[in-house]
Amino acid sequence: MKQLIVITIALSIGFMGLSMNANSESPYKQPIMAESADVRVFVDRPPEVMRIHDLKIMLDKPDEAPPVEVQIRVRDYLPRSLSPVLIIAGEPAARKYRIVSHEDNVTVLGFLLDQPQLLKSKGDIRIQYGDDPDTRSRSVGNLGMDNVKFIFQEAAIKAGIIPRKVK
Amino acid sequence: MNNIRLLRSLIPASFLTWLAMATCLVIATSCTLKIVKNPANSCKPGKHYIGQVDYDFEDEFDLIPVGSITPAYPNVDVRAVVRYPATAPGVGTPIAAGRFPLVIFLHGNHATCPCSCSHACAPADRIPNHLGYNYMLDILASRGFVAISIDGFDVTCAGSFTMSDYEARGRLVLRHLEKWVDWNDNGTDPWGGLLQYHVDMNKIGLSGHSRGGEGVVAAEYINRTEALGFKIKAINAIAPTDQDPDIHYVSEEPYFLLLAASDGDVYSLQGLRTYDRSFPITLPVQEMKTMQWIYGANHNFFNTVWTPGTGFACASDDGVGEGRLSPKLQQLTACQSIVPFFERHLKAKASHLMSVFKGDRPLEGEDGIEAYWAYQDPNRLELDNFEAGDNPGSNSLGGIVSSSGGFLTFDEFEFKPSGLDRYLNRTYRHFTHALVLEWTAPQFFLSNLPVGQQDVSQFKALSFRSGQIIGGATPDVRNPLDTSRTIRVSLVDSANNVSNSGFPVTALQSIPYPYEYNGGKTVFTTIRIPLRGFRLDNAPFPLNDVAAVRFEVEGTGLMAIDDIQFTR
Repeated sequence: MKQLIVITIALSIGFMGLSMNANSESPYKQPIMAESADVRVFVDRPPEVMRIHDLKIMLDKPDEAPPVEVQIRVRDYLPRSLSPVLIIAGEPAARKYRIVSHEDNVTVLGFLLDQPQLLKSKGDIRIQYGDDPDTRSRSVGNLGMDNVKFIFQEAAIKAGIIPRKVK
Repeated sequence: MNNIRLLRSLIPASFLTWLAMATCLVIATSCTLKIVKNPANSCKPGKHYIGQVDYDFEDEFDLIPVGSITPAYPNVDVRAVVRYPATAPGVGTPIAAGRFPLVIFLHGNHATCPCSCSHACAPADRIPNHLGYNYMLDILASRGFVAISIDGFDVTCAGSFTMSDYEARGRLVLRHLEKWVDWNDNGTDPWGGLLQYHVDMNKIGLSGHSRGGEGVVAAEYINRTEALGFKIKAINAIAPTDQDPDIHYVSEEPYFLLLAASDGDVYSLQGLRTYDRSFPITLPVQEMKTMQWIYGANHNFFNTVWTPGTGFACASDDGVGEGRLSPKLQQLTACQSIVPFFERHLKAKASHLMSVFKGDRPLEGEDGIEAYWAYQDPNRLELDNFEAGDNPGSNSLGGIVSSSGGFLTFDEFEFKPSGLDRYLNRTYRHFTHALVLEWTAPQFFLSNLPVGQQDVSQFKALSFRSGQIIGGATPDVRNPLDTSRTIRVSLVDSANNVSNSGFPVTALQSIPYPYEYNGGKTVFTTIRIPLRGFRLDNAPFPLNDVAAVRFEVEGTGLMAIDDIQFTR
C-alpha cells in the first residue's frame, strides 16, 4: 500500500512537472540561443593600414565615427514577428539589423550600432526579441576595440551591406 | 477559471443583454440602452461563386534602395493566390459581371523553409505563409471583391541595413499593384485577360498581419509620398508590430486595427500604438479609425498556415492565459470585422456596418466572446484629448476643468514606452497622453466648454476612451476582479441645469476589466453616449447650450480617460 502511495505521488509530481514544462517550453518565451559575437568596423581606408589607435581617434570625432556592425551567431533562431534587438549593457543599441547568413541551424544576425562610440563602452552583448526581456540571451562577450575586424567601407557600400551614409 | 468567469461563460450573451435592459428599465427613468438589433454576419458567403487563380514570377525583380545600385533584396519573387467573384466555382472560371474592388493581404514574419530562416529549400518545401488567409479571401470573393494574398518569401526572414524589411514589404505590395493595373487595363494577366476591366483599381484595400501590418502601412506611405498614384482607400492591420525604424503610420485613409489579447508573439502589444498615432487632430486630413480588441485570441491563429492542425512545419499556439478562442472562432472574429471594414470603405455598403465598428451591434457567432472596440470619427469636436501639456486644470478647447477635490489621483500622464512623466504601469501599451483618476469615495469632475463653443447640436454622440488600470497587485483593491466599471456622464447647460438622468454605463457599453493574462493588458475602450438621450425633465437637452460635461464615479477605482469628444 505504501509503495502504491509513493508511486502515485511520484507520478503526480511527474505529471505536474510535465504540465509546468509545457508552459515554460513555449518557443516564444525562451531566451535566444546566442553563441558568440564578432565586431566589424567599416573604415574609409584600406583595412590593413588600420590600427586600434586610429580607431580610437575616429571614434572620438562624432562625424568621423565609422559604422560598426555587431554580428551574433544564434542557434535555432526562431523567426517571429518581434525583431531581434541588440542589447548593450542592458539597453537597446541598434535600430537596424540584417540576416547575414543562415546555415543548418545557425543564423548570423548583424546589428548596426546607432552610436559607434559604444564600441568603447565594454558593455556586455546580448540580444532579445523586440521589447520582450524574457527572451534576452546570455551574454556573448563585451564590446571592445581589441578584436574588431576592419572592412573597407567602399567595398561594403558596393556590396549593399551598408548605405553610403548611415543615418 | 474563477467562478464569475465560469458563470458568465455559461450564460448566453442574449440573456445578459436582456438582463441589462431589464435592469436599465428599473434603475433609470430615461435609460438609453438600445433594443439590440439582429446580429450582423459578414462571414456569411455572398451571392457569387468563387473563382481561383494564382501567379508565380520567380526572381522577378530586385529591391534597390534609393541612391544605391546594389539590391537590398535581390531576386524577389512576385507570387500570390487570387480569389474572385465568378460565374461558376473553380479554377479559372469566368469572372462575374461587374467591377470589383481589390483587397490585398500580406502575411508577417515566419519560417520560410521548414522551421528555419533559410531561403534555400526546394520550392515544394517552402512554407506557404500566404495561403493562411484563404478563409478570408473566399468570403471576400463571394461578396464581390477580387481578393489576393501575397507570398512575401524573399522579404521574410530577411533584413538589410539599407532598406528595412517593412519598406521591402511595402514595395513588394506596390509591385503587385503595378501588375494589377496593367492586367486590368491591358488584359496582360497570365490567364488570358480573365480579369480585364473587372477590377476596380480605384478601390484598393490592404490588410497585413504581424509585420505585414507595418508592411501595408509602409505601402500606403510610399505610394503617397512618392506619388505613385495607386488608389489605396482602406487599411487593416492584424496583430501588427510597431518596429519600423522609419515609423510610418496611417494618415489619410481609414484604418482598422485588430488586436489579440493573448498574443504571445507580439507579447508587448506594441501594435496598439499605431492606433493612437493615426489621425491626431493636427493632421489636415481626417478619416475614421477603429480598433477591435479580442480577449483569448492569439497571434498565429489568424493565419491557418501558422495554426497547429491546419498549418505547416513549426505552426504553434503562441497564446497565453485562460478563456482562449479556438482557431475557428478566432478566424470568425477576424472575418466578422475585416470584411465589413472593406465593405464599408470599398463598396460604400450599408451604413449599418458602422454600428459594428462603433460596438453598437452584436456579431453572429460571437456570443460569449469578450471583444471591445475603439472608434474615432473624422467629424468631431475634441473637448479634451489631453495632448497639450500636463495640465489637468484645462481642456483642449481652453475650458476649465474642475473636480470635487477628493480624487487620490487626478493628473495627466504619458502612456508611452519611453519619455518623461510616464504613468508607470505594466498593463498599458498605448502611445498617448491621458488623465488618470483614482478614488475611494464618490467623486466628479467637470470639463467646461468655453463661451462660443457650446453648440454641439451638429453632433450625435459624446464619446471618450477609458480603461481600468491594474495596479501593482492583481487583483487591485480599487478595481474589483472581473468587474466592469461605470462612469455617470451628464451635460450641464449655461443656466447650470443638469441633464436629469446621466448615463449609467451598462453591460453594452462598459469599461472592461483588463485582460489578466499574458502579462496583463489594458486597452482604452470607446464609450459612445447618444446625445439625444440627454434630457431635462423629459424635454430634449438644449444641445446648442452645453456649458460643461460632468463625469461622476462611485465606489473605488483606478482608471484612465482619454479623447473626450462630441462626435458624429
